[in-house]
Amino acid sequence: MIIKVNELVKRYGNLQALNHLSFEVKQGEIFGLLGPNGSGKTTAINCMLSLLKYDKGDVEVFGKPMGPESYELKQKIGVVMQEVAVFDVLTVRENIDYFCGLYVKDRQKKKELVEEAVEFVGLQGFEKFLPKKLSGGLLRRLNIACGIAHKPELIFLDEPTVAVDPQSRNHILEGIVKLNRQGATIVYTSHYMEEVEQICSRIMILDKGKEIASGTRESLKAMIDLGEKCRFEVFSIEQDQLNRLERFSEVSEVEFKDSLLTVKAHKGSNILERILMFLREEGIPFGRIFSEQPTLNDVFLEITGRELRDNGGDNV
Amino acid sequence: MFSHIFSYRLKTILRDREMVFWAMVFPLLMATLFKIAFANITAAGTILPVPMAVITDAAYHNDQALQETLLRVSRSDQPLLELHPVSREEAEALLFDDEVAGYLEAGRPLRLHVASSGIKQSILRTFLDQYSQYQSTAETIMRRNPEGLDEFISQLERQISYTTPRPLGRNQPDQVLVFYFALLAMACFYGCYYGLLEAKEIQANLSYRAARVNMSPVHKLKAFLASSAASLTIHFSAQVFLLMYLRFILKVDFADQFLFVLVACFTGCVLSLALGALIGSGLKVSENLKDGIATAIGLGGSFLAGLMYPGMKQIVSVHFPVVKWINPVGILADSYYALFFYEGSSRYLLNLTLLLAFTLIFITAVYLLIRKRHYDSI
Repeated sequence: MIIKVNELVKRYGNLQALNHLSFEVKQGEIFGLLGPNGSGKTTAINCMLSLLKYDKGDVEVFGKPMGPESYELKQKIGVVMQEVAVFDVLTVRENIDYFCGLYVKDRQKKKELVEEAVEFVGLQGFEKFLPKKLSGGLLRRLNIACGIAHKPELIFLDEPTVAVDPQSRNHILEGIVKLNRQGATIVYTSHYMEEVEQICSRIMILDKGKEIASGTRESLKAMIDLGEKCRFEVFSIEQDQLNRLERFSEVSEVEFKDSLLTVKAHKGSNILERILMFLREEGIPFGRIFSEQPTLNDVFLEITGRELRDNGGDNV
Repeated sequence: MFSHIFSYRLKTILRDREMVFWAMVFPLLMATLFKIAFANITAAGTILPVPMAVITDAAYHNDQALQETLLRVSRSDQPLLELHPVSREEAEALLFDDEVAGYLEAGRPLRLHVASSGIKQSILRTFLDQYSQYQSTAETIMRRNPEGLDEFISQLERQISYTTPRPLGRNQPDQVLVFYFALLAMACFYGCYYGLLEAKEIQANLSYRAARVNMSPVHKLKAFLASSAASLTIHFSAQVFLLMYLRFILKVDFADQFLFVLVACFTGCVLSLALGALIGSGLKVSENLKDGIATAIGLGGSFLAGLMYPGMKQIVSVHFPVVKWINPVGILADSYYALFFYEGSSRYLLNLTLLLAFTLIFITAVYLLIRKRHYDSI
């Protein structure tokens, strides 16, 4: 086990930021901490890294208790914070060199690692640029390079794609998967469910500092009674027809709003063909058709009753 | 690791244009401006001899004692007067053209005509007041013992110069130097900004870069020491450059006590850096407010030390003696002044001891604050 968190409690005055949080991260996995803003993701990371004092609980990293002076453990850890933390007056290369140099003493090795990090995040050609000359996406990549240049075995990535354009986001996500394939264990936090769904092998959903669900993508989706969701562009439909649709055994919910008919199926059911047949039989004209499987957002919504991407607070 | 952090801190500070301007360039500009502004004051300090016309009428020709006295005070090694014996019309013309500070009309009483008031006119009036008081004595000496007139005149000159401060120690007191020494102290206390920066770069609850350093396998205090050493190196070098500029370009006199000046300067640099780090790590206020406090200490302290008005140093000393002993900027400025002015080193050593005591207190406080390695909140 690379990380073992046991009954972690952290309070900010009356606010309980972490509420008896327990989880484990296995070697070689990409562990996703998913939750809305203010759910306690960043606090959990800062407690794991011993930057923050916590009120109760234990944290073990690489099988040893993690503390502020666990330099041996810190040597194997890389952190990419949500906020860009680089020096404005140092160039791209100097920034990476500086932070890499806090971990690696050997000059030649450090030089090689810096080269690799520049290449890894795709900043070739920008080495002599000052951070203020970089776009938001490139700046994020620099931030990542500064955190992973020393080739850590365990990497914490705290919302590394916030405010990043789609191209850079893809580049970053591909890079994270690549780091994982190279052997790094990764703890990844985000409130973008698509990202977590895309790259994480195991996911824990946090809300109000508490675990509300955890498991693989599939197991999380299996937790809720939700199957395929179909939407049809329909000009008009009678109430009687809607009632008959609702009576189908596979259907859990029917809604008609703004010329859009939404039909949700129970867990494990596929209803697209059945609904299409119904519309044809009833002579109801329809336009475009959308069909999708349940997402983590549906899981979150089902469990908590609210949207995953809400803005519940600052980074707690 | 020390050299890695040290060299990168040197780079980051030297590339910070704002910091370079305020901590290095601004004091040089201020010193140059002082030199330009005080050039006239210094020139005004060499006001002797004072040009004075005397009307060569009958009364003057009949007053042998006055003639002899005026001749002697205008022909000595350090003449008090530049005498112009002329007619009344010529005297008035000279006064009108500002060629003389005044003209004298012999008789009883002696009459001094001036067109304005100033230091030169005051000197003439003082001299003639003194002479008038002893006029009958001078006349008696002239009649009975003309050789004794020299001694009489030298006593008169001594009484006039009594209004000028005499050196009690190494040098004459010099108000202009109070400005320069206060400026040096102020520049030294710009070190507070370096201290603020060091606190910000090491305390994870103050900056994300510091959080990154705290997550690395580097001992926090060692990182702080390496970084602070770079700040101190740059700050002290800038102060030495400023001292050199003052001494060799602007020709400010440090009374050949340069080594002791450097010792005081170095102590001041360490003290100011520690004070800044204490403000930065100890106060739970915004960054701007911390900057404001550092500025207030530097500027306020140098104001009390005489940067804006040299008499303030004396006012503080007489009316607010406690402030004098708790104002580190004033203590540092006074260290320089003590080296320049006093013969012995006791006052300098007292100031240096106070500076070292402050430094020790601040460093201890900073250590207690910085050694904390995890935080209640970030």
